[in-house]
Amino acid sequence: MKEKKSANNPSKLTRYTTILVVGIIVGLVAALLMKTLNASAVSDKSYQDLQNSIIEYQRKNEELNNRNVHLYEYIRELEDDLASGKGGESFLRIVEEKEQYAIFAGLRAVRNKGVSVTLTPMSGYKIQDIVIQQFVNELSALGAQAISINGERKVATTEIRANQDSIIINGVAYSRESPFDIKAIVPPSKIDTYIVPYLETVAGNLREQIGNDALAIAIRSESSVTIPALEEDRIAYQKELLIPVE
Amino acid sequence: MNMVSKRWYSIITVLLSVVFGLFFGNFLVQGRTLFRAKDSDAVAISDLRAELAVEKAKYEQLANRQQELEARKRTLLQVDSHDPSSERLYAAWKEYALLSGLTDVSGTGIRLTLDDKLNYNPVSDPIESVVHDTTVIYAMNLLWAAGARAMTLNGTRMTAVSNISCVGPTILSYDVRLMPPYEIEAIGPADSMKKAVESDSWFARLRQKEIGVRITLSEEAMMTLPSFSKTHDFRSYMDLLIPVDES
Repeated sequence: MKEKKSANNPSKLTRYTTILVVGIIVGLVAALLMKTLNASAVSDKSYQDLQNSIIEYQRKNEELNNRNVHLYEYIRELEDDLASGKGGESFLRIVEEKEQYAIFAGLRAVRNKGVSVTLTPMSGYKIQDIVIQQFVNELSALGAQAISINGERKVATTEIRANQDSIIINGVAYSRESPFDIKAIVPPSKIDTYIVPYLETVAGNLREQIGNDALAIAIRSESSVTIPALEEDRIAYQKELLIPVE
Repeated sequence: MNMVSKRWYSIITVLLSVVFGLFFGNFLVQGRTLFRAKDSDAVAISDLRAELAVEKAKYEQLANRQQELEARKRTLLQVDSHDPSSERLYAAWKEYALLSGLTDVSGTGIRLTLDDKLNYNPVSDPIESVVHDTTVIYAMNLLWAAGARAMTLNGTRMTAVSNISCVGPTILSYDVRLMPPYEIEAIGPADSMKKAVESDSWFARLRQKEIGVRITLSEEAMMTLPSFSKTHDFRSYMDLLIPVDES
């Protein structure tokens, strides 16, 4: 009887050995699985980050290289002018470069093909600063090289913020119940094919958010847009806190 | 041994063997990583790191070269500035370079850093837990309004044509992809800029535990911001502009 029982039931040692082996295998599989998933996630992220950083540096290097080539040629011309005694040429070059800086800074009126966005609040509605900011940011991202809002040139230091019943732009208050006219010079080849349709989509999303009765949005392609220079009494001209590093 | 003891004995054996298995598996994986360093992922990442190092070295070299060329150009242009008639012109040239963001500038200011929530989970965390282009633009607008006079985002100078947009989880600035943390450095009235950030209700919301955006703010007695020309060629951002007085 005893012999029969022992033949049907494996010994204690076999049983515990089986449990031990199964346990080790389960633990092993779990550890391998966790490590593999973790390692793959980490390597994918690192790979992507590294690729992005390389692309970013390649882009910067290309721009710097172009700028250096331009500077090198410019210096050679200046040196030639000085060597040949053409002092007046250097004078003209300073004028030319000064004007380029002024245009880039938004201190000169400029014109070209572009777009205009007019935001007209309906009775009682007060335009939010975020609506104007959104159109300005979209235009910047679309490659605008000059933007004005109600004739105020957007420069580096331009703020667009609501203050009670007004929206402050370059330190000047504009009523939130009046229309806002945003103009921009943008790449001409993209105006009708991409920029205007894209801005219409942005306008459509805004209408859905704030309601059709609150704000009229008109987007137009303009064959000639003039963007005025920054007024000389604006805060952007204040530079007393900046020390040029020579 | 009674039945209860036997059961406990079995349970403890199973648990111990699973734990042993975990350690053993971990040991095997570590060993695999150690001895199989030529794993394809590791090789690809190592290659990319080497490529990045080359690009960084090239960048340093080009930036140094540019500094030398800019210095040389200034010296050559200054030759005529000794003439009283061109002194005013030279001063205007320097002023416009300053206003356009095309010179390095220094002054007192603040450093504001914005970073995504630690261990952000797109399923359970709100969308605001990630720093978006709108968050960065909001912060900059707040600082300009508080009197900032010059600003950089991750080392690139903001200018009249600065553009910040979003592509997927990353932010583009002047078409360059930026990764968090986003560091904004601003020269201007430090007290006023610091107060503007600290008292802002939107920033207070972003700091709340459930949103968890990591925001650090420090005042700097003296900081230097680089010229825009150290990272970009400004001429390519004004090629569409026709001066009105030349028409």
